[in-house]
Amino acid sequence: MTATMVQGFRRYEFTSTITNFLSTLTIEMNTYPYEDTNWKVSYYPKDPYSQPKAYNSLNQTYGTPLGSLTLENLNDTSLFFSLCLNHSVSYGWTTYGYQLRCGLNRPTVGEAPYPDVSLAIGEESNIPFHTSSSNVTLNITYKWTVFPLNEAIFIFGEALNNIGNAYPFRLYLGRMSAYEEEDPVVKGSFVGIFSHAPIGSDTNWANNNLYSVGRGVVRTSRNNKKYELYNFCTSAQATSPGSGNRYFVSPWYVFQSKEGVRGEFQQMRSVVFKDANQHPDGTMIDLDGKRYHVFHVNDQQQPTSYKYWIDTAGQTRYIQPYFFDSNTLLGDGQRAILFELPSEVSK
Amino acid sequence: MAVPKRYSWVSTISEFSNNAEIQMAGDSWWEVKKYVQTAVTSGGNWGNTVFKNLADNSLCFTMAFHAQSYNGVIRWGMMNNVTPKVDVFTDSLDKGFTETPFSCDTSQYNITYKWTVFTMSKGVFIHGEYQSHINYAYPVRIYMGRLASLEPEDPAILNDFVGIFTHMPSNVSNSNAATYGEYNVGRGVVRKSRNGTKYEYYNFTTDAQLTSPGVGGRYYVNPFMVFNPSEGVRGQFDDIYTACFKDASQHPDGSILDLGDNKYYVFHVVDQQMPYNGNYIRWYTSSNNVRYCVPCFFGSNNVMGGQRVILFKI
Repeated sequence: MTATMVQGFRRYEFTSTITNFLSTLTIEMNTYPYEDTNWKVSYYPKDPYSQPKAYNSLNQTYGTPLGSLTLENLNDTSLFFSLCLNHSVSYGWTTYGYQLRCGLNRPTVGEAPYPDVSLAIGEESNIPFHTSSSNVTLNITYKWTVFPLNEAIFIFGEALNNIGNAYPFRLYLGRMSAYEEEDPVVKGSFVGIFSHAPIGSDTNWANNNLYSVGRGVVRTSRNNKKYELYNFCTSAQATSPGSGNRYFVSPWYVFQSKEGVRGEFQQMRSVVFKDANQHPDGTMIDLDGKRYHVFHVNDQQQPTSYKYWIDTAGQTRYIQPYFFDSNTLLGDGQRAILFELPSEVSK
Repeated sequence: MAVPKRYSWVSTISEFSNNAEIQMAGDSWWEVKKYVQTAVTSGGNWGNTVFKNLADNSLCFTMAFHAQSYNGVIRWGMMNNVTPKVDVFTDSLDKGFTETPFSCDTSQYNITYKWTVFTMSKGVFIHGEYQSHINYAYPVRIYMGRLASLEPEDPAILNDFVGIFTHMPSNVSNSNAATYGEYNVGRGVVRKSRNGTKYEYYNFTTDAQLTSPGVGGRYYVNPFMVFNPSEGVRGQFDDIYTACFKDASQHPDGSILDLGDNKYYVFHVVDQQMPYNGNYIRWYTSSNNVRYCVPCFFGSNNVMGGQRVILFKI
């Protein structure tokens, strides 16, 4: 294991299979002296929401629970996320692939994992690890890099095997920054889950390729609609520095066709460096009065097999994965994520 | 600058030149002339159009509409040649890879388009909405003109910061079916790079998805940034921006958007689908070389809710 610590900023890196991911993450983030200062992570190996069940015969369970975890923010206990590992299975026993069922609200009773997003808006909101082409369930090994921020967590997964089926994994969980002052009640619920797999699907693969946008779920919209879907996008192609040593740094905008742009991911920006050597992975960069930690993104190819996955309700979901505005850069350059760090205060 | 001049007509590809010359006669900024194939070096058999800037002699674009057995393409010229010539096609290293196709392959489709052409003092924008051959036709988007550099540049270098950018990225071809759509970026040709390389490729990108106005009445108006992996971002299309409106009826096509410091002329883009055809990424150059590439102009083909627009700065 490795962990990087800078002024309360932590970065965890480890390699694990999908089935060991949640438990390993829990160990990493709780190991002295690297315990995370912002988030409490708890693992529940026997969580009932992680118990695979036949979608066409709901009383039939398959195997044992795959495990769940909860992420609770230490400064703001209303920030509470659940990730429950599961896979799709039909009676007679064919399995169709690993996915995470998600929750972004604290359960009304207790502290156990509670995937309220998948319970409220359906299993289409799950986060798939790989395509279901040829009805496979692959326990893929990923290199994980996890960034727990003040009020959010970003998880990056680079598949190390089965790359013909694996989705490059990206997941943002947390609060967003709103561009306008919002009523505290509304603002408190501008909390979302955004992954590489846009929620909602089109059964026509050709049509599906037309939207190049991410889509996730937010606790409530500005007018208090629960589990509202919001799009997100960033501009991560323009190479920096350009002429005049300009850096083009883009936030992840969070928007919705009725509200327009409401805010952005916290503490995260995207950039493309002309020369990766000038800004190595793990270094800091000062830009425009702000200090950032540099994370080099590995632009992995999307699955070569069909881009659909099958959810735990047995539905086929055709998606065009999105996180960075393009999957790969045309020409040279190194895509990076910049994590905003607190600047030091001098006396 | 003034409001752009706007022309529109419906015609097939091979009638573009005839219509352009008639419709655009007397344009304030550009002289538009048609030529027969033999009058243009490597001219096109579907007609040729030359756009010559009235104020700036060095600004001159040649479009040669050419059909081979699979699909129609445009061969490009961007120098002020005494005899009209598609110099990008004849003189650049990659020749055919700089062409712009009208459709994916399998036959010579003389597609009917609704053309909308905007002229500005230093550039021309062409929007083509296909009316026929919907299973094969690409929606046409072309910007040709001067680019605004972000930094002051040596006038000799700056004068060659002139480009052609279309819906089909230049010099991108990938025969691996798995990687179609991996690059979501446009690419065009510029007269010269900052260090003097002729016909340099530059990528371009814009963010035409964010719905406006957002909270607080904020409008997200984005330039087309022009960059190159070795130079970084050098500039942008001159006076052209994109946006996506929540409510199209508040900002009708042809209206003026006043954002205080800046005023824009609004043009509603028609987000047409890419060809509904298994081979939609495959086309042939006029030399019959196969190419595989996904068209890109706005960052995404369609928007999820809202009306995409082009804003011409007034």
